[in-house]
Amino acid sequence: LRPVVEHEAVSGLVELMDGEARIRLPGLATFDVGRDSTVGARPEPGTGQDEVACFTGSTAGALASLLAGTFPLRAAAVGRESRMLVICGRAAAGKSALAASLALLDPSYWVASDKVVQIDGLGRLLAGASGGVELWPPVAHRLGIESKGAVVRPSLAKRRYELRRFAGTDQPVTALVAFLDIDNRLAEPELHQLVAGREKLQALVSAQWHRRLIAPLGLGLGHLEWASSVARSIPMVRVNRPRQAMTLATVTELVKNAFEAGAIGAAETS
Amino acid sequence: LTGRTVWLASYPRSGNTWFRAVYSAWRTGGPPNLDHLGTIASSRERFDDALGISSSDLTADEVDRLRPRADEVVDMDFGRLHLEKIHDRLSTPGGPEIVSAAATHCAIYLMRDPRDVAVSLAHQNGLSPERAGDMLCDPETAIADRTDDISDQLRQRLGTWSDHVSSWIDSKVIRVHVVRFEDCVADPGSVFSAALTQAGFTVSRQDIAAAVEHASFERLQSVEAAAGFRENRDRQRPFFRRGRPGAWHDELRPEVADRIAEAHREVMGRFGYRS
Repeated sequence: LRPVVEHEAVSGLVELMDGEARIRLPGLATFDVGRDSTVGARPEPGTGQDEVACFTGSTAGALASLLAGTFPLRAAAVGRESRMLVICGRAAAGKSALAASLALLDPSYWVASDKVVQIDGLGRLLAGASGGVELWPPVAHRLGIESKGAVVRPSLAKRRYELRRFAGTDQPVTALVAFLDIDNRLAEPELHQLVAGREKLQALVSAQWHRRLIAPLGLGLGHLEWASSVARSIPMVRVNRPRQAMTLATVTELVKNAFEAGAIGAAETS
Repeated sequence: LTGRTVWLASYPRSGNTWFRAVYSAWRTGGPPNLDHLGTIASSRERFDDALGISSSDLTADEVDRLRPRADEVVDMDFGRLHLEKIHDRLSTPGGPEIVSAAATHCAIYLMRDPRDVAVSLAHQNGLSPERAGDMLCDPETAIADRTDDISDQLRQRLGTWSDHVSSWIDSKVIRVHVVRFEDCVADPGSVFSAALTQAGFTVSRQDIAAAVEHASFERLQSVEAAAGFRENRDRQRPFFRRGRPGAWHDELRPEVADRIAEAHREVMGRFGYRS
């Protein structure tokens, strides 16, 4: 049985209304998210559609997925053939940079997303693959693609870079989930396999879009089942690195090796 | 104010981390875990996680407008008073507060002689003392304010040292208790006890004395030397460096010290710092 939520503000920006939701971004726009996963954006007077379109694919899109009963991750996803690598991590940990770096290093890699990733309990990719990655100028410059980006939002300096899309016919399946984190105590990046179920579950929950809305939407049990299944069926690694930008190449190499080696064996130690 | 957040507000390099280490030691009854001293109000992850939005899609001004909403969401996670670090000035003249009044119980404002702040800032950030002195006197001083890149911190407007102090101390919205770093060093047990008690925590002098011992500056230095300190952005420079008042006498050229004292004479005088 799923409790009916009646007009209850449960998060700073989101109001839930009997299965539908509204996100209010004061000064920018209001987004209405329907039960059928439709997202309607209403910019405030003086705000152009081009200033709010990016939210449709991130916060509003993720909320639409959640209302539809899937559990979107704040993550990037890349892959090779039909094997997929999901890259989670704290805000500004370098998820998009790593996704772009992998795709540029090896032309056989495709990119599914760098914002919202939806997988089922067995790690199968549920939503379409976009092929785009958003990067800030210093990272784009380092990767040598600075001049090829498209505007994401006129007010922001970051740009969107179209990389190779998934073009296969099989549904991509997650072979590895990598959690990125910054640890300035380290001289070099380190990679560790996550083994304990609790640790895997905590890492997954922390990467969840709109995680505070899961219980009010009556999705707590379904979420636990989903997260348990993902934690049980997919290898996970944590990659800690110092903040310095020059570690991106090392992180790329570490994660690529773990992913291509089938994750578990190669992921045990850095 | 009905919130449970006690803001531990300070200009950077004013003893905030030491205070939080003592608080952590008091809470756990043992040595502080330097990896888990709590979040800072300007953490990008805290904001994104609380609001379900990617702050990298927002301008710095838009983020500032939404930060109080994030405070309210985070505050609801706690069933009791909790300490949160913050380096932002509370508000710019005529502008709204950067924190949510509804989520706030009160604030502890930790203050340090700005000449010592300049010395510490210079060491920590690899700046000349002159440049650090300039920061303390520049109304536009901010942390993480690049618009062509992002970091794990949201933009934090500091303003001048005097702007920063005044924005908190003279708040009409938030109850603020002032603590001087120099008094913490002179009599840590009494000062930490009084500060936490005034903020609403129920503490005993004995427990605080034990926490002060667990989180003594020397112990923090030795923990950092042995295992590093996660919050330190430059592992080549120790975070816990000297920790004593008056370093500016040895490390600041007189003309730099005089310029800082002149710029902040009024506020310094108000809190007993001789210029």
